[in-house]
Amino acid sequence: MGKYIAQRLAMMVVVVFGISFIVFTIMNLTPGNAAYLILGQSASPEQVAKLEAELGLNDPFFVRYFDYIINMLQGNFGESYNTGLPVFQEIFARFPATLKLSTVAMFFAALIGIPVGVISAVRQYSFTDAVSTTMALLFASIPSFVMGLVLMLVFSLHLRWLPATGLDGIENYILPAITLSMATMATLVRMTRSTMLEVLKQDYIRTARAKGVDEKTVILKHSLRNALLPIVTVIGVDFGYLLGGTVVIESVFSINGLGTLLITGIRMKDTPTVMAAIMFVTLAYSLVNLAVDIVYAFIDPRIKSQYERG
Amino acid sequence: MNAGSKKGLKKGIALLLVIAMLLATLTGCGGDKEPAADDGEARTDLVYALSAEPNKLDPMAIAMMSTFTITYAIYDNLVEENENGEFVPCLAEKVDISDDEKVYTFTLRQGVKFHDGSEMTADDVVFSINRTIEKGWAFDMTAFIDKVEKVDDYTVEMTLNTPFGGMMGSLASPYFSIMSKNYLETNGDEIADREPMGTGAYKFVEWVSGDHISLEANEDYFQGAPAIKNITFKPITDKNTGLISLQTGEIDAYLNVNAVDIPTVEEDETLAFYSTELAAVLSLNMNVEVEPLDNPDVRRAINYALNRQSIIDGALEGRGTIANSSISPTCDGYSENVKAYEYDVEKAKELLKGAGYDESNPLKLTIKLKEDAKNQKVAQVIQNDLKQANIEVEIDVMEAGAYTTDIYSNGNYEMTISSWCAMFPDAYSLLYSQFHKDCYGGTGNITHVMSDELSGKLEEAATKTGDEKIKAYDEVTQMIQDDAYVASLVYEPTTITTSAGLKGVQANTLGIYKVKKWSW
Repeated sequence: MGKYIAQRLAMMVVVVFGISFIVFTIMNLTPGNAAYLILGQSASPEQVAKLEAELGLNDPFFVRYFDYIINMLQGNFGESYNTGLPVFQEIFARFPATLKLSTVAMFFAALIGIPVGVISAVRQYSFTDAVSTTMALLFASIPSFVMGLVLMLVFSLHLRWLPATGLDGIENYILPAITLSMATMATLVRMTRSTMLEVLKQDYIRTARAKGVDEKTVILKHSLRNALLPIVTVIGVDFGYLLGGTVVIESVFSINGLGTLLITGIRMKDTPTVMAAIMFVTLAYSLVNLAVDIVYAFIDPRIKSQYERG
Repeated sequence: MNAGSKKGLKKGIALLLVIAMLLATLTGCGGDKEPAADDGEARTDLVYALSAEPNKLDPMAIAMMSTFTITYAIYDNLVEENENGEFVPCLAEKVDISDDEKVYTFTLRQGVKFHDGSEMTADDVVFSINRTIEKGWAFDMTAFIDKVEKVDDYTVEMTLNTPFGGMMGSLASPYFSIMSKNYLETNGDEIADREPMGTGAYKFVEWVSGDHISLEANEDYFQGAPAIKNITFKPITDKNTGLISLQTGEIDAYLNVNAVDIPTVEEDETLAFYSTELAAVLSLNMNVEVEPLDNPDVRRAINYALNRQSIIDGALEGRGTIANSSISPTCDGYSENVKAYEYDVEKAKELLKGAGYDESNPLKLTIKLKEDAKNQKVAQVIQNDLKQANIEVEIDVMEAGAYTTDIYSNGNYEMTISSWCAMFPDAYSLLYSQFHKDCYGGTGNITHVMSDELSGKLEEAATKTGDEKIKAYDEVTQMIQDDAYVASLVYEPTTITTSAGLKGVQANTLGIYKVKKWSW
């Protein structure tokens, strides 16, 4: 098992390097000049040339890439072209917020999505089932910024229950996390429902019932545990979506998060910031997926032995 | 319904009730940040929302106008503009101008302290003006300055190489903020980006990157301590969120709410709304180096074919007035005497026919745009207008970087829509960079007009003041109109929405506000 984890971690390093090269190349190929975008419309050509030289934008591609990698390995992610602040500092100030938001959102999605999916499967074709699957479709279809603004209007403006912007206290997380969780919640409801339905039809479930096991244990211990594999997969994959998808939510709720930093960096061609932000997200996503794969081992003993065989 | 599904329904309702109760308890914690209608003591704090996070706070090196509200609170200038648009003494007690208008002698106020306790003297003024010149952002203002010298500790002499009618306006603009020579030399020049220090009504407290910037009142301010003691600047990029935050009372001031929301704001008694014309002109720019836009008749035809009122109604929610010239009404040098193009489709078609275009051979042009919802709407209205005159317009929306490269760097475009904003409310700031031959391309002259006559007239007008200035700029703008170098469309409004209890607020044409004048 340890060997499996070590192999996966080694792969992760390769992935992060690969991503860094791809992002660097794309940032260089897209039109637009960082110096010009930073200085704005009223800049003179001399000012632009001066800033370009300062930022080292005139060196050849591979020189710049290797400079970047060497600095990165020493922990120096460079300075933002836009603000001049160390990139690492900027990202570290914002990453926790995005991470917390994504985690809370995923927690909401699972907390509500999985039980609702189970109930729908157990009460297949009932009124509850119909309501939950329709709601799932609704939540998956509404664009996140519309949902966010509607929730803000209802809960912040009309009811005055929750604040509209910022992340000062725990109550600030509720509306953005709910908005962010919607799509994943919908997926989890349907995924849980369909895998539970499959499992419930299995012979061993009929055997368990015949043996006289109470319904609750049949559902939770015997069925849900077997249905968990695809559900856990969805959680892993969607976490990546959540990490990246916070941009719109951050804009609507004025949250100082990584998504906003990344989009501003892309628009301003602030290569150091974009590189570092994407690598952090890649790292976080890879770690989450590694965790998901390890959880598989605990859910399904057959998979555990596969890992041990190497 | 069988027994099983009834149980399922009950479970569903139970779950919803739990969530509702959870929400209710959570709202018990964390109360409102500010009380609503407070009939006790007046508030002393202010939450001002910016449309974007500033990237630095050095007034001599900023691209975003909204950041200047912060720098005006921290720094003072030699002179400042009062509510009536007159220039009054600020850090300079007296300004003497020589008869040839080339030498400005500033007598400085004595005993004015920087926030670190040191006194502001002539050394600081000379240092600051030289820094403005060196940083190069205000090059179209500093180009007139020949030298600036200290005469004694409280007297500074600035010599221009030719008279400049916009000098006082420039001196009052944020680019000429007075900084502490000692502070910047001791701590390094970059400290002005993140930890500004000046003589102003407010002291810088902290900048939590991406979250907020805090200022506190300077109780020893030479004009008297300001009424509002604590200001927090927060970025709110989404305009819908901005409006909701104003309505919940989470913020107290926000600029330029969506035009469609203005009726809501005006009806809301908890909010106050102020509007004035922006120091910019929404224009359809044409690249006069590209065929057939190099033919003045074609450009005139486009001007005649445009129904400017329909642009206001169709794309700007009815907010704005038709532009009669390329100068905005709030800029010094503007007059109503300049004749605008009347909406005349027949005249347009006639001119086009003369140039060889008609129904069988329509003129085809492309408008390149950045991703901006408003400008896209404007372009669509224009597309429709020009179609009536047999001009087929294609709209090409580009990514910001690509757009800047095409329009500013290599001039690879036919038409675009822009709204060049003045750096201080003066016709010079609007026109020089856009139409002088020395400013070709990236510096501002994206029209690529290289007329010696026009450039000469622009240079001359820059030296004038008062009525002569207005006459000189009348000539310039009439020339621009007659040769149709640009199609000036609309004077758009710039607005600010604040909590109703905030006093002393006046709409500002550049969207920069002197918060030291506000109170509850």
